[in-house]
Amino acid sequence: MSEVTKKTVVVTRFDPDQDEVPKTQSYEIPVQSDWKVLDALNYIKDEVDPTLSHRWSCRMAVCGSCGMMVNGEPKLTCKDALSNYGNTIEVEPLANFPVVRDLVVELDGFMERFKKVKPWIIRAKELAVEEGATRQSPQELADFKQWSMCINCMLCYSACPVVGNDPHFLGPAAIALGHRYNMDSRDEGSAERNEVMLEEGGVFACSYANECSEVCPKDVDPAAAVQQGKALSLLDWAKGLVLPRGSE
Amino acid sequence: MARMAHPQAMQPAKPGPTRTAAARMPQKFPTGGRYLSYIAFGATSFIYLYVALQVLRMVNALASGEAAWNALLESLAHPVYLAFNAFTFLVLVWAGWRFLIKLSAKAQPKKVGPLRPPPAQAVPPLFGALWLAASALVIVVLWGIFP
Amino acid sequence: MEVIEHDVVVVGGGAAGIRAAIAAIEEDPNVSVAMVSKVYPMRSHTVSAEGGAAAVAREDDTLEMHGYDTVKGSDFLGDQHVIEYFVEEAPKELTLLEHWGCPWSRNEDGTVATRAFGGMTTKRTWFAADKVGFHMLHALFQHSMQFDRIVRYDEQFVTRLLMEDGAVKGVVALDMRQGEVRLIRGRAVVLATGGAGKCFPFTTNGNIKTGDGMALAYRAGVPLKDMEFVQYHPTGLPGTGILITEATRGEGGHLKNSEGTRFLVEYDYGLGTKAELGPRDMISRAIIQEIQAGRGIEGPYGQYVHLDLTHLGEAKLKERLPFVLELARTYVGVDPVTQPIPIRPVVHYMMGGVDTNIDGATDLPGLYAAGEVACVSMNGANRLGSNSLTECLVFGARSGRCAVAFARGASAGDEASLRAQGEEEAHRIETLRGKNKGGETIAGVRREMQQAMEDGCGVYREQGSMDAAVSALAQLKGRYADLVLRDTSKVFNTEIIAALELGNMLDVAEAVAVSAAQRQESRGAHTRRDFTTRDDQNWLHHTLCHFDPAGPRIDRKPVTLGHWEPEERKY
Repeated sequence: MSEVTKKTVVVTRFDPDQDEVPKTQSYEIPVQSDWKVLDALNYIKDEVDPTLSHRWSCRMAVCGSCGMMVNGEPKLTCKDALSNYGNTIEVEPLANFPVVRDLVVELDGFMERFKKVKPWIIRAKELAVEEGATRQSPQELADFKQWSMCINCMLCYSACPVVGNDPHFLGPAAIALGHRYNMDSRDEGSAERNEVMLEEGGVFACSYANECSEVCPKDVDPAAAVQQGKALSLLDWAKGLVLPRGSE
Repeated sequence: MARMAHPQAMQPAKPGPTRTAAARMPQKFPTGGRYLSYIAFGATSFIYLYVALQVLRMVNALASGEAAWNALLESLAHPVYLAFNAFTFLVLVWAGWRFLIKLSAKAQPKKVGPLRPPPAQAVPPLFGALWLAASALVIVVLWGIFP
Repeated sequence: MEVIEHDVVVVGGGAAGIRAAIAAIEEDPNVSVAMVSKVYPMRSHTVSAEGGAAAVAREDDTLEMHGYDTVKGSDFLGDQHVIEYFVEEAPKELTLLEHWGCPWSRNEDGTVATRAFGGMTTKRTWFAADKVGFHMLHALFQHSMQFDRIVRYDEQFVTRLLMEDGAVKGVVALDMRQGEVRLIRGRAVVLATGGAGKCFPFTTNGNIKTGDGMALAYRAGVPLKDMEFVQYHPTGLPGTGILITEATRGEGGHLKNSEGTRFLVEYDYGLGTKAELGPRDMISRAIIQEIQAGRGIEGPYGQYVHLDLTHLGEAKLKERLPFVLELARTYVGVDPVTQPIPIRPVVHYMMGGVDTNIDGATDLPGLYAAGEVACVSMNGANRLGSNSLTECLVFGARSGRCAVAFARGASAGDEASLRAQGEEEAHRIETLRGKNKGGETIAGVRREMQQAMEDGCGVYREQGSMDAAVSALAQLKGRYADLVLRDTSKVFNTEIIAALELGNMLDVAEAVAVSAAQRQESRGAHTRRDFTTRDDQNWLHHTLCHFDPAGPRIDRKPVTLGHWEPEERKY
């Protein structure tokens, strides 16, 4: 085993059955030098206090469950090494989200935003299986691949100052997802999607803090998607002024 | 404790079945860490507003006769105003750097319909050529070739 | 108690579950489908699959070859009619996923690229860099969002099947948010809850893979089939067990021992020229043998060997295996561009599962199963890498369609009797929540269960250790009744979920150990030191493990042979 030291983990606790507002609780626990923040939480859950609630699953930075605020920054706790911090680590639920319990936040608002951008391939005429796989050049793949890497961990929502102030804002991940389909050579639905992008809370609600891209653990760069979305949806809007709808 | 977020922030359309604790903004917002430069960048708009008002003032002075104009020029020579000018210059350089170099580069779509931007290596010579052409045009005009 | 009604209830929101739900809608656009999952679907463990999904795509490949590879990989315990159907449907399903937006990696000409994988004769594994499960899951989930008739019930933990007259009529689900039990009625139920890797201490599986669906079906009287076959993936990171994809070997990576020797080439492990492209069971055994021969490397989490990718070059690693770079750098502090990655065999996949036929139907009318939770018998004694993602699609789709057909002719059941079952279940959960009396902790019992499984049902097994595991598990099940729970809150009580999951794992683990202890031969992933060879005379049959309150009861079921005759499995 690796070296063991003691650290204090200060965790936000909130049980709606008992607490009016969230409070904090400190745990002093032995930690191994190769642990991530999530390992410390799991240690607390297993050995110290089984009433602590947090979400986690894959512990390999791909399921997106375990996003939390660590010392004030949104982090994927399974990827964030304890050794990055001093002897006291503060773990809170994701900022900008209503808190259900302890470190568990409300996800349904996010899921609704997600669906709004129509994250599926839209085609005038659906392809039949017999037609085989569509051809797509490596370059066409590269046009959208980056935007398809989002694991929906919602760290970007926690970092974004607009998300916390504007309840209509679609938010970075949802817009990046819509942009991912807009940029996919197999898709023909960008006009439909751009209407959503131009609505209240769409791309132009973004004031380009760039925080989403700073905290993204998967280098998706949602801020870039939002800005590109601004340009492309505006073009679509201008096209709509000149050409009647439905013409290309 | 961090500031409260909007009470509806990230709430689903229909409130969830159990009571939730209100959402909070990130601890460091608005003046900590990287948020500071975002806020400062936004705050530069006050300077642009002020400069715009100055322009209006100039137009007004021009229309009000020579005395008014001279008075304006005199007031602009005030050392505080000169210091402000220097400050504005620095702000413009910083804001331009942040906007053009840091933020705008990645805001360019990889394609617009079938159109793609030129390859990244071609951009600097393209700008160079554009600059030369514009300079040539200015020189030609100043020489009075065009009436 | 809230009662919700749908035509078909799908339990699980991974690749198999979502595919089943979509297939149900495709079969009949007016059908209403409930998709019930204990996590939001994008968190499902499909997300962690890395290497790829197999289907014949190239000119030089044939369905016959894919079929033969799969049968041989299964050590001839796969049902051949199932495998024939699988290889035929595989290309169609992966093409569908392409149409739905999955970002498959491409060749220069725009066709879908394929890579080599263990035990496959040619390149037939479709891939999206090395995050194939992630991309497939997200493409499926996002595609499913456009169907309003698929109604999601996220973070609802199914604890029991509703039964009437020997048929399934829906499920009882514990709403994690509210801590309330509700009935989700359906005339057919599809289980797609994945495997049970968490029965073991050292696994690639995420925290959610606790054998819930297996336990549900098992307790309802459906046998678990071939549970002794637990796949060890050769390349997991020591300590965490995080998966390093087989695609590393498919792309040309080498396994090396402490002497820096490619032992699969130097020594005879029955892999011939396949070397690193051999099937998982054989390579896992070879690694253990290397370590036992004193050629392992000592580390803080025991001995390991090296997976060397340094000769592939940074450009190729970045293009083909970016996730491996990220994982190795983050979790073992090794940069694969310049250093070999430490790896050791790790529990990865359950070949066994709920006994189903080719339709995904169990013997219990109305109950279907697909994906890792099921044993449709295409993987036999050892699954080939990249067959399981495709399996989720092929049999997820088929079970979804068959469930709709079944639901059409089935009654919805009598509400009063179903409610009574729900009340009973609500009472059970109410008693368990915050049950303050007892001397056992969840983590303690879980740890001992995992240790018993590691000791008894590892890569190499023998009668004594398996019998010890069987009795340890029986004893742990007794101690489970004495569990103490301290969280009394109803809202998002993860402690009670962990307790219920532990109960499921104990049942599944016992089925694994009992099934393993009775099979007196070595076949595929079931390797015994006391019976070292395959014995087709006596053991070419499936194992069925039936639930019995007195202890599991073992039965057998014939293997469907056909086109391919059993032969010695040598590469």
